[in-house]
Amino acid sequence: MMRGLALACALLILAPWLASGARAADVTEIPAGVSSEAVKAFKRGLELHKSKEWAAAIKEYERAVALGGRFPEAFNNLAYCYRKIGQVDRAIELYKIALQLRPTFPQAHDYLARAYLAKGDRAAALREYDIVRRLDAKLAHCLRVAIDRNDPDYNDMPWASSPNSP
Amino acid sequence: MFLVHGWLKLLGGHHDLTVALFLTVGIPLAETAAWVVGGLELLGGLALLTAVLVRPAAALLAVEMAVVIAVVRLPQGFVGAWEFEFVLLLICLGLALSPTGARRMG
Repeated sequence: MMRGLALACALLILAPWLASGARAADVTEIPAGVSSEAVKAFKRGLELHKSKEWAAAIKEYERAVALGGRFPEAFNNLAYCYRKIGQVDRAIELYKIALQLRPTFPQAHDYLARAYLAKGDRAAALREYDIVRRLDAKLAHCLRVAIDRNDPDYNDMPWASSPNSP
Repeated sequence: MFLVHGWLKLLGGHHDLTVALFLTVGIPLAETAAWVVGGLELLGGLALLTAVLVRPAAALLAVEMAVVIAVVRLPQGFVGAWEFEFVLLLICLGLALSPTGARRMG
């Protein structure tokens, strides 16, 4: 009886920590445990990304990944840059890696939908939209407008103007 | 652990998150599967906690965790997939409890 009670108390204490796994991630976040060199390369990539220097950003993101920064944001942002230079198939591959690493990464689903849209695959874009709307209503609304307008680039980098972005 | 996760999936606002996960990894009938898994974790966790129907509960939870490894953790790679080892441990616990039930373990 006492053992059961102790377990129940432990679960109640652990509940908020367990629930934190559901928090939506931002594309600028860097998980703990990534090497400092990879972090530096990722941050340089982000700055280039924000100033829309896609080819230079790709180099930095790829460097970050090569230095052990195999985290979802790195693959997601790398994919985004590839989409922007027209390499949509490569972008789709990379979004899928980001989603293998974090299957409930809303931004990666959002961007994957936009990549499908860029390829003219509206049905696949809508399948991704169905996932995004369950993860982030605001993001989903924006994506829905992009799909309806058939414009993959519509409002696809709102985080770059966020006051929280580095 | 199972109890809390089951509660979150059924009543704690994680249902959509679970369906999104299932859709992403290709679990069929994602909406229904999310309810079933939530119920299994909630009732299974309760069973383990109260030592009632421990064997079937442990066996079903072990199967669930095996599916988690196969469809979510394995593609992430063994090293660096931070929950992998933990899920593996839960399987071992499930398998350990499944044939013996609560009496011998207790």
